[in-house]
Formats: sequence, C-alpha cells, structure tokens
Amino acid sequence: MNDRANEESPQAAPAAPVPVADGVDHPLDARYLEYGRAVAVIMTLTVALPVLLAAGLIAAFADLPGFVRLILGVGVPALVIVFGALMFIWPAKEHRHASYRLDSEGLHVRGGVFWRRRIHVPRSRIQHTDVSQGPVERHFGLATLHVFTAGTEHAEVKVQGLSHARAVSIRDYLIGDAQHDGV
Amino acid sequence: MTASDRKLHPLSILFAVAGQLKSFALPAILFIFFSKGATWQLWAMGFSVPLSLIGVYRYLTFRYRFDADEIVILTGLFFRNERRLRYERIQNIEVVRNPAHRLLRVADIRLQTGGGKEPEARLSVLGGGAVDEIRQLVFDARRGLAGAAPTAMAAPVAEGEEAPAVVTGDTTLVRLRTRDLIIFGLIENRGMIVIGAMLGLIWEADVLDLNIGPGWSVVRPLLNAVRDSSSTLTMVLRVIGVGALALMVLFAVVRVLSVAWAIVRLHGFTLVHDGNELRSSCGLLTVTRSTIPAHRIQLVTISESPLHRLFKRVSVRVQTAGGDAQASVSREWLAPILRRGDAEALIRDVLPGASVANTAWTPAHPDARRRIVREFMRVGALLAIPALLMGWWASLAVLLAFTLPSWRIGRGQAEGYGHHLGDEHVMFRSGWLWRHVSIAPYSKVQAVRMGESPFDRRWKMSSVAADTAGGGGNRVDIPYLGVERAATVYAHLTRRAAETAFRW
Repeated sequence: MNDRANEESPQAAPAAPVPVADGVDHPLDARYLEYGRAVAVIMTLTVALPVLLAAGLIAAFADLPGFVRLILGVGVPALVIVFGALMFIWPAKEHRHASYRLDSEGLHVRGGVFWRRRIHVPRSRIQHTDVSQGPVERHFGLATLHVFTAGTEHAEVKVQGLSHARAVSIRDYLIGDAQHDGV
Repeated sequence: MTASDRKLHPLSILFAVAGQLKSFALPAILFIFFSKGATWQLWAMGFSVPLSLIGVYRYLTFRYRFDADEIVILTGLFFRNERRLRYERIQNIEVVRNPAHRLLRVADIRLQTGGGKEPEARLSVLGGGAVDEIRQLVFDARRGLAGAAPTAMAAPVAEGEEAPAVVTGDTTLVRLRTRDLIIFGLIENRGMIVIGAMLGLIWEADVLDLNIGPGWSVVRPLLNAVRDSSSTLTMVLRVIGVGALALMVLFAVVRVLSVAWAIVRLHGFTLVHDGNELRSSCGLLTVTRSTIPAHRIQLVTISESPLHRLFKRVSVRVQTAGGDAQASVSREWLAPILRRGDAEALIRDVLPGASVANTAWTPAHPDARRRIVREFMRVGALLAIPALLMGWWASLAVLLAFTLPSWRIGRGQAEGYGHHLGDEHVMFRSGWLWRHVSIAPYSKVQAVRMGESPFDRRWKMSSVAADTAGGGGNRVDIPYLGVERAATVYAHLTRRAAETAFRW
C-alpha cells in the first residue's frame, strides 16, 4: 500500500497504525448488534407489513370459512411477530459466536450459531479482496471484508461487522506485501 | 503512473445500454413488428429510458485507479464496493473488441486471476491508451516477480513447492491393454451410453422393423409358453422365469456394449510423464490427447467399487486447475483402471513424497459407528411415521429396513473413514463398499475449515475440510473427529498451508 494512494482515497485512511496481526481473537464491532437489529426492523417492515395488510384485508372482506379467517387474522400476525423477534434476537447470538484473528499465518474467521465453523485463509492464497458497504452498514460505520481464494467451497470468505477503518487495515495487511506471491 | 481515480470511457453508457437491450431485443422486435402506428416509439422509449439510467448510474459510480501494486475498482453509491486486485495475480487480460468497439476505438477489458469462471474485474469500456497501460503494469509486475524469483526460492516459503523435477525423459506410467479395457467395461457400466446412442441412431435410420424381425422369433415361444400355462401357479412361475431371463439378457447386452465402448474410447490408453507434464492419449477412432502440467494437480483421488475389488483394480482421477481462461478447471483420469498394486508407483510419481501403501491412517472417533447407526435409525423412525397411514406392518417394515442393515453399514462407514497428515500432503479416506482415497498437497490447500454441527456438539465431534481449487467430486472433508483431534488437524493444515506458496 503506497502512501500516495492513501492520500488520494478518502476511505482507505486508517486513523492510527494499529498492529493488525496480533494473533488475538477479536469480537465483531459492537455496532454490529445495532446494525443487525436495524436490518431486522427494516426487513420486518418491508416484508411483513404488506403480508399482514393482505392477510387482514382477505380475512375481513373475503367470504371464507371461520378457521381460515382465524389463521389469517391471528396466525399470520403471530408468525410475523415470532419471526420479527427471532430476527431481532439473532444478531446478539451471531455476535457471541463470531470473531476473527490475524496472525502470521493469515486470516482466521469464526462464526455460525447452530452450525459453527472456523475458516482459515493463508495470506498467500488470497487472490483479491473487496471491502463493501451497504447503506445501513454505512450508517453504523461498518463494512464487510470479502476475501477471494482460488478454492471451491471457500472461494469467497466474508467477515461482516467490522468497522470500516478496521476492514481497510485488515485488507491492507492481508494483501500488503508480495512476499508470498509465486504465480 | 498516476494514482488518481479515473472513470470509464464515456461511451460506456452506450455499450451498457446496448448490452442491456440485447436481452430485450427479440421481444422488442416482435412488439415493433406486431404493433401498429406510432405507439412502438413510445414503448421503445419506455424500455430504453430506465436502461439508460442504469447505464448512466453505473458509469457515474464506477471509478478505478492504478496503484503501485494493484488495481483498485470502486463501484456503487448506495451499496459501495472497493475491490483490489494485485497486478501479479492477474493471469489473463482479455481485450474484447467487436466491430462497434473498433469503430469507436474502445475496448472491453476483463481481468482474470484464474480463480473463478467469471472475470474478477471488468472494465467496460476503456479507450486505447488505458488498455496499453493495464498491459504494461501487469507485465512489469510479472517481470519484477521473475527477477525476485531466486530469493524467493531460497526462502523457506518455497519449501514444499514442486522443485523442477530432474528430467529423465519420458516415463510411461500407465499403459492399458485390451484385457484391462475389458475389465474396465465390465466394472464401469458405460453400456447405457451406447444403448442411448444406438436408439438414437435406429430412430434416425428408421430401421426399427428390420431389427425386430429376427428378435421376435426368439421372444414369441417364450410368450407362448407363458400364455399356455396350465394353472395360475405355473403361469406366475413362468412369468418370473421369463422376466429374470429378460433381465439377464439385458444385463449381459449392456455389459458387452460397455466393454465395446471401453475398447473404442480408451484403446491404447497411455499416461506419460515427460519433464513437468503428464500426457495421456487414448481412442481407437478418435484419439483424445490431454496434457496436464504436473504442478497444476490440485487433488488426486483413488476410487474402488465392490467390482473393482473383485478384479483387484482401482481407478485414479485428478483434479486440476489452471491459470488460463480456457479449461481452467477439469477432472481427468490418470488411470481409468489400474492394478491395485500399481497405484502406489503412480501416486509416487505424480505426487512426489506421497504414498498410499504404508499409510498410518488415523481413524474416526470411536463413537462414529454408534453415531452413524443412530442417524440411520432416526431416519427410519421418521419415515416410519407416515408409513403408519398404510398400516402398522408397513411402518414396522420401514423401521426394520433401516435398523437391521444400519448396524453393518454404520460399522463399515465408520471404519472406512481415515485421515493422514503426511510430509507434503493431506490424505483422506472414506467409504465402505465404494471407497475413495483423496490426496491434496498442502501447497494447493486454499482454505481450511473446522465445522461443528449441533449433532457434532452432542457427540463432542468436529469436521475439518481442506478446500482446493478444481471443483466438485471428492474432497478432503474429514467428518467424525474428536474435538481435540480436529483442533490438531486444523492447526496442522493451517500451518502447512500458510508456510507453502501456491502456484497455479
């Protein structure tokens, strides 16, 4: 990473030279909880509201047997509430089981709530990287780091819930020097 | 070299819209053709305005720049993405110039690292100057790398990398004789392929009547025998007899065709090791040749079915991945069929340092057998519930069908699993009746995963997988490991993968 590029790029400017490869498991950024909940609320509102509205209208105006009305009027809202609540709780569960670590070997990512996994990508296997940011992520100052390998199952390894500066500094560390390249 | 952000050529908008329109071309033309009056212009505008807006949006939000070691591509406004691609990782620069591009003196650039099927970066479209600049940067990066090669070789990083083997001229590793091909045809059923092809041919040539004539004279007496049965019992017996005969004849015909297929397609199969290349050729009518650079081998799999065991044979396949755009990923036979005893020599030659003969396999967790048996029983119990609808006897039959063999299958599968962490390779063995041994060099391991399902947790087990390039088929994915063993294997794989360099 040359200095000139750092000046030119408004995003790629880590605030302080933090040692990235410290070999310590780091939890995801605390803001990931808020981000996850915000996504849950947005999803619930955009998906559930039309469903609820449609179910309510059908239950109210269509000529249907009583039990169908009951399902539409009570069952569907209950389902929506349960799913909304699950989505709201989920980020905390995810956060608890997710972490990442950088050391001389490369990147280690831990994640998953029921199906837990730990993925290691050696630095020398990284083909290219993305740092992406959706509108909600940007609002919370978060970013997602995507690491691409030549592999099959793990052709792309994602680390969500990083602060943007952190994602950039990890990226710069991972693809920093050409020591390992032997293409 | 400047490090300032650049935009694509303004003509990008035009090409983006044209590209989008292409998918709408047929419906649009039909519509224009069938609609009368001036309304079609309105519709055409209706189509092109949003498409143009997408094109304009892409153009306005797409920026790229050339840094010292990498190309940086920034896309999106709401969903932003910053991609970084190092020059020396770029395997292929594809420059597409169709007549429109040529006329307007621009080009569509695709940069590929060889990792995926899709290009890793697409710059559509750039002016001629920018194209030359990318080329120059990539070539310079490569040259710099070539210059640095001696030091890289001296570093411990280069350890485990295939050293340029001492060229001893051609060595024939595998040569199949007709006898081998007959066995191959008997073991691997390729007969249906031939039958399919023949049916197609018969259909085409309209010779159906011709073929049935003589066949009918054989079939008719059999059918008559069934019809003229004196009692129901003898009739049933005769039906069964005729059916079994028909099946046996079909089976025999299919196998004979399979043998014929093998003799035609694999005639004179040879695998030659020449310098750093493996070359295979085979075929009676059409000779198929293929070349595999030895260092492109990602994974070797030795397979053995019950029939293979009967003939003391195995088959050996290899997964390769390449840096070039065409044929980047493929699975090929190193030996369609091979004496089991010869596998060792082949493996030793293809993967220096590997051996399958005296492997000290580490078995699966001792509880693996019980776990597999229980999983079988659980599936049986689940399927037995809907079977209750047909009656308790059906339910019981389903339950027994799953539980009785589960004990033997569970033991076979559990004993089939094994892994070995060799000096330069990780090896994984699986299967009971159909057995596979997969071998991957550490230097080809792209990522390592340790996974733990809810069921794993209950049994204090984990699985560890080593991901390699080269796509589907058998993989190194070791299940039913005790958690401590899994941690050891994971640590070993991550360390060995990290300290070896990957080359395409």
